[in-house]
Amino acid sequence: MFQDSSTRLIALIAILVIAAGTAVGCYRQPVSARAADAAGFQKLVGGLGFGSSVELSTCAVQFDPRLGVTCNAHTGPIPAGSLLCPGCGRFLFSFYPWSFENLTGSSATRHVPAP
Amino acid sequence: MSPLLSIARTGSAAILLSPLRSAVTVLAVIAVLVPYLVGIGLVEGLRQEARIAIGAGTPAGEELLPDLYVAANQFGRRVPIPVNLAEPIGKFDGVTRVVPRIVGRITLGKENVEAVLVGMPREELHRQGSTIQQLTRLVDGELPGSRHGEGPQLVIGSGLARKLNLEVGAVLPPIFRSGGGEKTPRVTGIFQSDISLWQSRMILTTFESAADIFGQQELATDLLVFCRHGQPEAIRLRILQSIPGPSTERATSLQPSVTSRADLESLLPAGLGHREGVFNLLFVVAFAVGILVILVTSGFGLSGRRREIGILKATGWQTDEILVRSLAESVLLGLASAAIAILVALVWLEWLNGFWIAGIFLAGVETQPAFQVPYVLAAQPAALAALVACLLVTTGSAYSTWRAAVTSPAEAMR
Amino acid sequence: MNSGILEAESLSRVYHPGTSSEVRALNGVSLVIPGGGYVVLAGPSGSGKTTLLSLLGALDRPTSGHVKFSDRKLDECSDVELARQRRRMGFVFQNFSLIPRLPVWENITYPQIPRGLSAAKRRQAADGVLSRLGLAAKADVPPEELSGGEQQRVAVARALIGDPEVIFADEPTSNLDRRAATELAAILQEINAGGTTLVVSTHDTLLAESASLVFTLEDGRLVDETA
Repeated sequence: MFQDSSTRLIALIAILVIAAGTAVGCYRQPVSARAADAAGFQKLVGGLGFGSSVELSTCAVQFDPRLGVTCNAHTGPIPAGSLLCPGCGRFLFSFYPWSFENLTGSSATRHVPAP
Repeated sequence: MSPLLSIARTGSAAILLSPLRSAVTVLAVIAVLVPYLVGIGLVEGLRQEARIAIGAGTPAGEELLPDLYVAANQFGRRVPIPVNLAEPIGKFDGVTRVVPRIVGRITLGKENVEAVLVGMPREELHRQGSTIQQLTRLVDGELPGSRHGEGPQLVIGSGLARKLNLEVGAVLPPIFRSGGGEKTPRVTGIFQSDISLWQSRMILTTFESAADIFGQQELATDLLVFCRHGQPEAIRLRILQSIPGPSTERATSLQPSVTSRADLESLLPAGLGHREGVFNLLFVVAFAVGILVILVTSGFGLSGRRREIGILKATGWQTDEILVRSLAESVLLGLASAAIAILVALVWLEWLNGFWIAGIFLAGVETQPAFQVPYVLAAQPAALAALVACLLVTTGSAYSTWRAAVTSPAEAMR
Repeated sequence: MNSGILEAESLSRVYHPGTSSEVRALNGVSLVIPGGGYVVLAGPSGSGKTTLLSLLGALDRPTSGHVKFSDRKLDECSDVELARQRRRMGFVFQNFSLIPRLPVWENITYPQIPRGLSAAKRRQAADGVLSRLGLAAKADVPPEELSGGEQQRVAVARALIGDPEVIFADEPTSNLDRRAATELAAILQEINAGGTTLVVSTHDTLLAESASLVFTLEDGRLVDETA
């Protein structure tokens, strides 16, 4: 009967919502185990990896900002220039590459001429 | 039953009365929401991994990761730093040890597979390895440098192992020549696929082997400086002010740059709120497209819908009652779409390991990722997805419904 | 003019005014519908019967003039008030205008939903009306599976369900075969005999024969009134 179908539809939607809520609320990747393994890996490599890239060719800075100061492919200040960068423009977790001036204490640097 | 509830229940009947239109609407909303939820889930997963990668939240006094990373700049570009600078830095008060590291890019095999080559001193590798309770959870095999006299020993990432069909004990084609002749790199271990995404394309070897491979002796990519608690900032200043320059035949000057853990921690929120990032823009575009799609699907069967509303009005329904009915229909469709989208996103991330979609958001990742994709799907984005879904559906159908509802029944039924 | 349940005063309706496709469907029509009467609006196609019926049944608003329903001017009613007035009326359309896929009993009782009646009570009311019209066995069937005559009887049931004071029927037999038309005519007579005012627009002589009052329209004007 249509009335039954209508009621069943509401029930189905309620079940879907509850299932989605339960899945989000209860399901977690085993964070602690993964965190321990990840920490062990980082100890071996001295802390490496940070961004949304797993290799260096696209954008070393997006792999790890410790590896690069400026981004060669960064095409600002063209309007929306950063969107043209296949590295920075692509990812949802990306950080603006540092310019040298961004680094704390850079004013304290001095040229160190070779003897 | 209250009249309002009775009217709201007819919303579900309205869904069943236009099954095709309802299905297309739900699919359009799911198509917009699933990439959003997957992306947000990946961001949170990445954030957690990134925090671990920089040792954020490490208890004071625990020497897990370096406190400072010292590199060199010349003409504003990153250049290798002389290894011999490690000794003067190591003598600074508060520095417990300095470790040179090489991180570089190489290609392997006929297909020129990209890899990140990391070289750490043999002693450091085994020092750190000995502090890890279950090394087999990280590496299937042995750490490099365990056998003296042999050629380069490599621990390779799970992605590389799969791509190049390599197992523990496998031999790579020679990738360099040295004064001692060709040395054949051997795979001594493979990283487990679920420990980190960044291991996927990584090759870990000894510092000496890495230097030989790149043909760069006495140079490092950076120096890892371990400090006593409370000392990093003071040591950073001291490095910037007082480390001697390199002694070379030609007059050259290197500018040191020092990155601390705090610098990296400050990047995390900046990265996630990266305004120039395309993600937010893409999602806004998808949202707008979603509304257009729903506007179009609202047009499907619009004449039938107009007549249906005309009949309702002719039989005594008021305009606001018709709008409540439509709102109930939209909310039900929105909730259904959001719930399905959340479940699809979770299945896609967990059981399908982000098949294909992870490669859209992460660079260098294959269609079927060779590592366990990190993700966290929290309650907040899920709730936001539900709200967005209801808004999408309501906005898309509101105008056509309102137009039909305010029209006289005779005209609506024409 | 004697006051009846419905009164039309100088009713006019113009479609697309001021454009090249302007149509003056009704032009200054005045009439009185007596309570309990069986009134037929007759006239050739395009004479304005359907337009007049829509205006009397509050399905449309006149360009000028007034409609009074139980001494209440419908053109002065707000949208909400108009909807409430419609609940005192029933309407039977030429092409049935049933909601596809919705079972017969739900089609009939859809008007009652905003009143907060439970599904069980609505089903009970529907069964009563359907039995009266010989359609009890078709309660759970969607309209598409019914014959034309059965669909029109369902439309009549929908018009009856709210115990209306007046029922409007627009060419109710035009899409029916002779047998179904005769059955429907008998049903309408029976409804009128129960005290419900009936206003039928038709050029079917079968229905006109039963009328207590016939208004004849031509080119949007009232040309004749026959008791």
